[in-house]
Amino acid sequence: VSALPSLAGLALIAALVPLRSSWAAALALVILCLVVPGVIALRAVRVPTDAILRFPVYIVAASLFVIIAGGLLADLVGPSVGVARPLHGLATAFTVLGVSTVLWLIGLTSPDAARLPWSSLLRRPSLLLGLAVPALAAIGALLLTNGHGPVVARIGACVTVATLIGVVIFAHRLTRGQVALLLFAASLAAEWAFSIRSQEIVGFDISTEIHVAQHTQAVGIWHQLNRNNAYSAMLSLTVLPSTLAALTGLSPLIAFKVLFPAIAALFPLTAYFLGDRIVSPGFAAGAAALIIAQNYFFQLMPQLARQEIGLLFFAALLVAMLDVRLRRGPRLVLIVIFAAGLIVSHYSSAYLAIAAVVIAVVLHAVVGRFRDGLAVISLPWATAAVVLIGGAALWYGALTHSASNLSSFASSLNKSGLDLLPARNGNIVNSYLNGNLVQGVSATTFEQLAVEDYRSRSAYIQPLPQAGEPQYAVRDASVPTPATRLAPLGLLIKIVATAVDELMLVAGVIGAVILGVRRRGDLRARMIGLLSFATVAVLGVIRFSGTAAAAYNQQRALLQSLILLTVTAAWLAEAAVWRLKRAQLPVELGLVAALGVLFAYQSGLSALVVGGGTSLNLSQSGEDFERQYTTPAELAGATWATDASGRQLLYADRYGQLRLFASSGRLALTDVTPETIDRYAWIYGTRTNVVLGRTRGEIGNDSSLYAWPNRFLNDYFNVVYSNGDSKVYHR
Amino acid sequence: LALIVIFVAVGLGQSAAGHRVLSSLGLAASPQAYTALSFTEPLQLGKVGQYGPARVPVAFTVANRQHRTTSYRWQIRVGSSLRVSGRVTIAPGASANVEHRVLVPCRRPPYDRKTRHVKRIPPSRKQVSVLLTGYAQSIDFWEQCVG
Repeated sequence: VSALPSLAGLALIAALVPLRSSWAAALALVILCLVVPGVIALRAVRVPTDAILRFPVYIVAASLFVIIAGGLLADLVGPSVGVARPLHGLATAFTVLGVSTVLWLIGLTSPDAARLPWSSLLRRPSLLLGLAVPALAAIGALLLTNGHGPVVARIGACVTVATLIGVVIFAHRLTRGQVALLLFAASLAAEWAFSIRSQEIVGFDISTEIHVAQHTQAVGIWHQLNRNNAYSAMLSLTVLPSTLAALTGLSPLIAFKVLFPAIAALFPLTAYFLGDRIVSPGFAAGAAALIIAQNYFFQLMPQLARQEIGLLFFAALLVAMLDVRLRRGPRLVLIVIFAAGLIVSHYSSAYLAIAAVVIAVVLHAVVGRFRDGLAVISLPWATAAVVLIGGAALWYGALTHSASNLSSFASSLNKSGLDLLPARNGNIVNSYLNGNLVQGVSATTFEQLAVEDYRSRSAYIQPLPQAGEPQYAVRDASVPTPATRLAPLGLLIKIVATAVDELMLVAGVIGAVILGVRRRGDLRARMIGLLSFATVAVLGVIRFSGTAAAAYNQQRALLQSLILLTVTAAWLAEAAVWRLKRAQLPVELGLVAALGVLFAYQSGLSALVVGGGTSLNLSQSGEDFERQYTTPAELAGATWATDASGRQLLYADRYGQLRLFASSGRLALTDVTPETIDRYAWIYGTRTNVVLGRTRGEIGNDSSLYAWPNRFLNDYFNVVYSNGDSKVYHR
Repeated sequence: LALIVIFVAVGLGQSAAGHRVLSSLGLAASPQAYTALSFTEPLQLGKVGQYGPARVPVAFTVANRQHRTTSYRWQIRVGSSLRVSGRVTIAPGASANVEHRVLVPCRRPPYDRKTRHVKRIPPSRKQVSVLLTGYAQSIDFWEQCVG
């Protein structure tokens, strides 16, 4: 009887699939598909209910694994049974339902302890109230996009910050479920405030990802397309969006803008669930809040669809590795499943996981020799290492031939070594903070760098002889920003935010060391410490090495590591606060206030008080808006440019190329300066270029903002296309 | 009950009445309206130099993405001189091709009777523009005059 609700869930999915064009049915299907297959799979693996309730992230991760596996099965088997385009129609939906049914039958023999208490979970509708916060953020983003001003978006941002602070302060009075739901609400609200902006995709990598997803769905088959392309090799961008479309009716565009951020919003919760085992509820909530408050979480993640899925599998993998109360059999199966899910979802996250897990296995062996209760070899951790390494070699190597980014890293390493802090300048603090970051250079310097770069790499480029004339010299440009009203307060907020970030890292590292090697303490805490320290080691390499940072963006690596580092930081902070006795309350309130300042600064909310530019979530102008905001007319222009230019050279600025990626996947040369434009080239200009007159370029760690070379283009090129938001030039 | 309310609300949002309500609240909007103006054969523009005054073909396409039938007034100019103008009415989502020949007044190099050779003159060029009046949109190309 206890297995029947899962079967009913499957039947409901099957009944609703034909109705998925209805919004209500689609919403129900999304919820059901993220829960039911996972619950069934976990029962088939005999994961007990208490483990699932301790770490509910298992459910969504297992559901995604079943959906990906079902979609992949349909893709591989479909053509041999007469379904030529399995990813285009309902074949994947039926396969997922079939796989789930088989798992349900396997789970029939599992003990009652592995069956979810559906009725008790569904009897708590009060938990839904927290979801009003992301709904408000979504409404604010829609109103701002549709030209109705930023008021609701700003209110939404304030409510999001207040929710996050509130849940940290009152965590000890709330149930675990309530804390988790409010953290999820704040996390999702912060992400939707960015991802729902614009009628199109917003962001860098996601512009290519959406093309890959839409192309795969249109072609209807994946395994014949995937060779030699790192993006196409990721099932999170190919099979998953197509299968989700078949199951729920969500197009890849809506899935990337709405659903994937909701999945990524579960990532910080894992820090709470892990922290909840070793610190008090307030500090555990604080650990998750530290992740949510980072703009590289709420702004960057919705721009990286493959990493959103990859990080969920990574979180589930860590949880399984650290779940010492789970029996060995189910634990090993979960580790294999989630490691496989990580590998096929995001290569960079998988590479970082491999390095961290291998280091952790070594640390485990070393510490295990000196500390009681810790075996020298941890079978689950060794299994994770073997599956990650073997799986990555198999998937990126033999099966998809998509390890070009790894071979490119190895080649850079051979050529330049680690290239420590390539932009270090001034004192040691400044070198540490900014030594490996992109820095701004003047337009003239940028053009010189571009010319040198082209001479060495692109000798076939033949600029016009007139390009060097003085009247066509590139000029610096700037984005108009509102005046700063309270500069000292703004500076103070920036200092506090930077200090919180850096102290969090320091505390995380110290906490990890103490937890890992201290004499006393429980096994789970020690394992968290060891794994956390292993991620720090990898992070350190990326933080200091220009070569490593070029291979994997520092902030994305940091975000992946924060799932453990924030927990060890919270543990150290709590241990320190407990020693303060009388000053305990003021210090705790100070920490919460610092968290609030960090979130307000990162979300752009503090700029509303102190002045200055705000980010995309709060305004219809500014640096962020000019870079990321794409209009349908710009995409139409990009499509036309791609079709018209054929195989000839096509130029666009750094952010103009995103429109080309999104519309056609077309690559472009990105240095639009008179002295680097080929005389027979095509040039695509976005709204920012042709209406606002600004161009952005980046070479290595040097970036520049300069005036669109309008005069040069008008004098020597034809304007062959125009739609108000974009132009195409050619001669 | 809460779930039922949410699902009913979402379902109603998809109906015509629901969409009107969402639009009036600013939560739903039609896709961006725009008009695309392009040359029909962009690779052929200005490729052949003109040896004296010539009637040059100008072929362009107007794509209506305004979500309503729209009547466009267009002009073809050479430099600042209006050569020809017209009107084209296009259904939403459709495109129309327009083609005309316009006079490009390239100067013919003079003939020198003494030497019985054509005199060389400096090469020049004329800009041919297509404008959509009322939309502040234009495209243009350079026609080369051989010296």
